[in-house]
Amino acid sequence: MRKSVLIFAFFISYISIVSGQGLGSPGTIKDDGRFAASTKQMNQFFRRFNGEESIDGTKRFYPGDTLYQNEKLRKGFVSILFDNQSSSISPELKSEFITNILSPNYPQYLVFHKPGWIAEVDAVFWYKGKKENLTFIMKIQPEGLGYEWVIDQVIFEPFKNLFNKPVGSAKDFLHPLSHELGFMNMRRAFQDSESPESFTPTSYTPDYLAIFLFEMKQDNLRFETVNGVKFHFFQIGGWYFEVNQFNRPGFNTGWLVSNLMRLGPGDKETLLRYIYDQD
Amino acid sequence: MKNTGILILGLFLATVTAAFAQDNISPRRKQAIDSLALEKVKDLSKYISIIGNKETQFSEANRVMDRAEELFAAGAEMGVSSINTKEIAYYKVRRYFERLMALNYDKVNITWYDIQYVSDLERQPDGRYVGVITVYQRFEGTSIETGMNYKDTTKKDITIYVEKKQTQIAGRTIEFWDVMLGDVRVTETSA
Amino acid sequence: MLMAVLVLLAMGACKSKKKAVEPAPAPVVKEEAAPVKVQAPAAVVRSAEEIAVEKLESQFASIASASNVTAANQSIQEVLAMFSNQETPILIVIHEEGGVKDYDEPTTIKKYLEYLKDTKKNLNYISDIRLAGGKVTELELKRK
Repeated sequence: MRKSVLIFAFFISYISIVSGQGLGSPGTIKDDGRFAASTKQMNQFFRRFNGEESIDGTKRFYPGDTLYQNEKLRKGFVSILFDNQSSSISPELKSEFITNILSPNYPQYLVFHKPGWIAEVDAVFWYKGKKENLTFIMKIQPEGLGYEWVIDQVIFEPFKNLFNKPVGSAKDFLHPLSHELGFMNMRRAFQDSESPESFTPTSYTPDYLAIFLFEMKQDNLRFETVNGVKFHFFQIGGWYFEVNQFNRPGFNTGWLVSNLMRLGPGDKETLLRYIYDQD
Repeated sequence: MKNTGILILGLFLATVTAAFAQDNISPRRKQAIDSLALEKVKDLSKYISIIGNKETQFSEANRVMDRAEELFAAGAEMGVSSINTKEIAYYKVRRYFERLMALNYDKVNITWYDIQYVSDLERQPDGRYVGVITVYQRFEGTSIETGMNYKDTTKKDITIYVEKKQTQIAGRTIEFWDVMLGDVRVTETSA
Repeated sequence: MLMAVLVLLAMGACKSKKKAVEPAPAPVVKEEAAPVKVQAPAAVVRSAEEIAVEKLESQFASIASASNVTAANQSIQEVLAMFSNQETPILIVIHEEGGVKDYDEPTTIKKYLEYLKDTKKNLNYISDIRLAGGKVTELELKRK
């Protein structure tokens, strides 16, 4: 906590030192350090995490620059990349994480273009005359001469409700000798059953993204707006963290780590299942 | 054997040269492009201040709106949200300026904070570079009749598109960096 | 730790200092000939190009700092009279590295002058000029 206060103090004093050096022009308002301190873009989150930009964010460091990925610079930055107003991350865990990523033998960095980080986008769609919440899980992938964001999964309650595969004696079935009668019992099965999903394999999971695309093409779904965006990071070995945007007074604002977890064996898969299925 | 080696080396060099002949953006070149993009954002900021100012003549405001619109790529939109609701209002750029001009205040003062953040330039699938510039604006509107004074501070995340283009000038082919503005996300901050 | 970060801050401050504005006008460079230095008026007869550059630089500055639109428009008309036509192309160099020039989108003299008036920014100095029949036919600017 004390360290964060020090870092914020540096932002304020730094801005006052350089105030006459071309940052401000006539008619502009001097930032009291709040906006300088804020992690204004995810791009800035990456650059600060990796120690690839100056404290005031005006200079980008490249391989070969003295301060490029400088350990002390990173250390100063990473402590302020956390949401310090929530108690969900213990100081010990945070400290352990920082020590890990700054390890002299194996420092770890975030790479924008590599897999291992995903976006969770909360959107609102019109569906069957009602506004419904829909969540996209998205990732970056190479395409053509550059990169693009793509939808990896759709989480939508109305779709989930379409798939209510009954269990046990409540589940309809096509008996094992149906083939001898040319599957004529399909006629009654489909007529009487309200859950055709009953006739799917045990391992079957619906592809909600495909249904989403189908409903979009059928004009049954209409995009309204985006409510919120957050990011899930798995790029640091043995760790998971979540990044959210904090719009509030003070110096601890912008894109910040809101959740941090140490990953044991199997934890990553469990977490991913949770994020993708929201079950 | 030796000739094959020279041939391979030649091919390698040719490939490397070809790669550099594409839009190689060195750090210093990026800085120059950043400055160019920032100037466009400053121009936009200046135009917004002129458009919003109640003392600006209608014809002048319209002329400035044309200049401002020229900064943007076709189809660019503003997405505006306030601090209280998650609701985002979407406007085509021209419509946003028209609404700004039509605001029902007697006195409007728009100023900008002396801070901006420029992202790295990322390549789109079509080869164009895309970036985002963040600036902060302070708006103050006063209504003489009601004595009401409205103030807000907004963060503006402005998309920039950077592309190398060619044109003919006096019989010569000139390559230039074309910087256009794109979608703008406007969020009210609680500052 | 405190000292180290303060040192880092100081280094950062030095690195991020914006380039100081060069005193205008810079020496005029003709494309084929050797650079010609601008000399004191009393000593030697100046070329038509040098005179034109000095006049233009002064006009650009006054348009950008004009106190009202009328004054700016007056200066704009005076400048346009110096050109062969209003659509004379203006090239603006934003960066030069390894002999390669990076240009901003080319504009015309009329649009450039209106830009000076609207934005009140005077970011460029004249790096090259061509005259024909006493009128300016080409102008190249460079970021200060």
